[in-house]
Amino acid sequence: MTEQVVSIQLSKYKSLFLVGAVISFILGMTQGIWLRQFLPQNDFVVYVYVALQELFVIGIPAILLMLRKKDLYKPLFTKPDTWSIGLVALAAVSFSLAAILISVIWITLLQSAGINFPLPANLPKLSGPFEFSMAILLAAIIPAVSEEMMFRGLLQIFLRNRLSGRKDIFVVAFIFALLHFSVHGFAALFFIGLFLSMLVNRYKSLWLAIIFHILYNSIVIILQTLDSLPSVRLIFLCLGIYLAVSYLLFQKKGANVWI
Amino acid sequence: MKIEFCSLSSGSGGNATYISAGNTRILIDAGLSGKTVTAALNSIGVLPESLNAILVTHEHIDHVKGVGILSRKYHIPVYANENTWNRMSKSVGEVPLGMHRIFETDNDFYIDDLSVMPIAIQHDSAEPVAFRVFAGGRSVAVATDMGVISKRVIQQLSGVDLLLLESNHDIEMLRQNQRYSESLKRRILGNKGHLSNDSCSLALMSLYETGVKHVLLGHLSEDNNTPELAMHAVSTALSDQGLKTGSDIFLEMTWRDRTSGFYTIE
Repeated sequence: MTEQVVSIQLSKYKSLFLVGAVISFILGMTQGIWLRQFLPQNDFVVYVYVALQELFVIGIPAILLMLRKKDLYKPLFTKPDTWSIGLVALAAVSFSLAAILISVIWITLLQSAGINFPLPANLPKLSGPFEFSMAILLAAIIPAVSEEMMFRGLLQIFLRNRLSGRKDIFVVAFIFALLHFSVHGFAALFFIGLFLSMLVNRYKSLWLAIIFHILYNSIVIILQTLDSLPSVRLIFLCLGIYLAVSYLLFQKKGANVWI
Repeated sequence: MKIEFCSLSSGSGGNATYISAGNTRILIDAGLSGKTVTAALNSIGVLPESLNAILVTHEHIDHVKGVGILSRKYHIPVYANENTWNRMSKSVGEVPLGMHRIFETDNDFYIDDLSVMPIAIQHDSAEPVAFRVFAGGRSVAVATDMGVISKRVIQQLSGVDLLLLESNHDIEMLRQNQRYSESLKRRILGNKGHLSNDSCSLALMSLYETGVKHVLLGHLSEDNNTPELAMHAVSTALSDQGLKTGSDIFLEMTWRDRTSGFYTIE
């Protein structure tokens, strides 16, 4: 076994990762503190900014890395069956509301620990179907595809060869949550990371994770622009639906299969 | 449809063979640690999670060591006959529910694009099998760990396009080996032991008649054989019968500690 021929030849791209990480950190840290003042406030430009950041820091490096080993990564893009697509869509919709609960608990915990961060500004209001569909493309579809390829595709495969057991899932989820630079959203993001890693592990298809991610981001955009929180009753209902769907998704089917 | 074939490792230290056709990828045995199998698969550009099945020939540790961990970590279904399942449950640890697949040795079965024929062989385990895998009119086979090779097995392997055949030991070297006990020698030489270089050559002569032309020698003993010796013994025996290696029949080697060549059968 020749150890040096590890298929994912990331060594050639080490510097790319480092540059990406530095840019990502600078952009992430400055987004709220420094750069925001130069951006037109509450304007559509924010969406363009999000999309460009996702594309150049995460999406394009991920695509380039995957193209280097086309045959290796091709199986990750197999088409999932309709039943699991349906379940994942339901999970995404219900979880995006249930995540509010996680965030509320998380923020309460932070505050009781004496950590107070100002709440981030709401996303800009959208007027008309054109702006809305552009926002979905820029802030839901582009980030979802880029992040899934990078985190659940490349990073998870890179780490699971190097970590024993299932540690890779937790590390990927942690990095995923960290790189969103959201103190308030950390808990929910970490949870989403775990869920998506498990999903890709179980169903071996990035498409399911991408579908979940797109739907989740879209609903966050809709909720933010509506600027109204769903009722507590609805949130708990969604949590119930989400947990039930997760059970169906991850249940261990059957015992012995005679063929 | 083309079949791809690669022996990741072959020998008493661990056996694993990769076969793929169309969108289906399988391993026959995973007798190395999960980590080593993953590294070997990586070296030939295959993600372990993209495997559709692990087929188990028999329950000895050099064939099942990594089966449990690979199945658990990457959700890969494991195929074995019932007797083998019963015996290997301890050594492979827990295989997740829903990943158990049980075949019957006498019946062919299908894994997506592949059709698999289990072949009953003689070895000192519960219900050992060899596998012949068909796809699009072509076929490859893995036949190791057998004491004798019967007419029935020859018949079932007839005309296979690529065959990994056991050439375990040199009988003289084994007899003179001081470190092996007499009972162990009897076990290896017996009907339920391993195929010697000489038996391998004999089997190849019969198989050549049926149209087998490409053969990989495998499962070489570390103590009682060397790749050079095995290759020399088999090619000499074949040339005595008027078969020229390199033109009539093609022989190549698989290795104990590294992957073999990557073969594509079109």
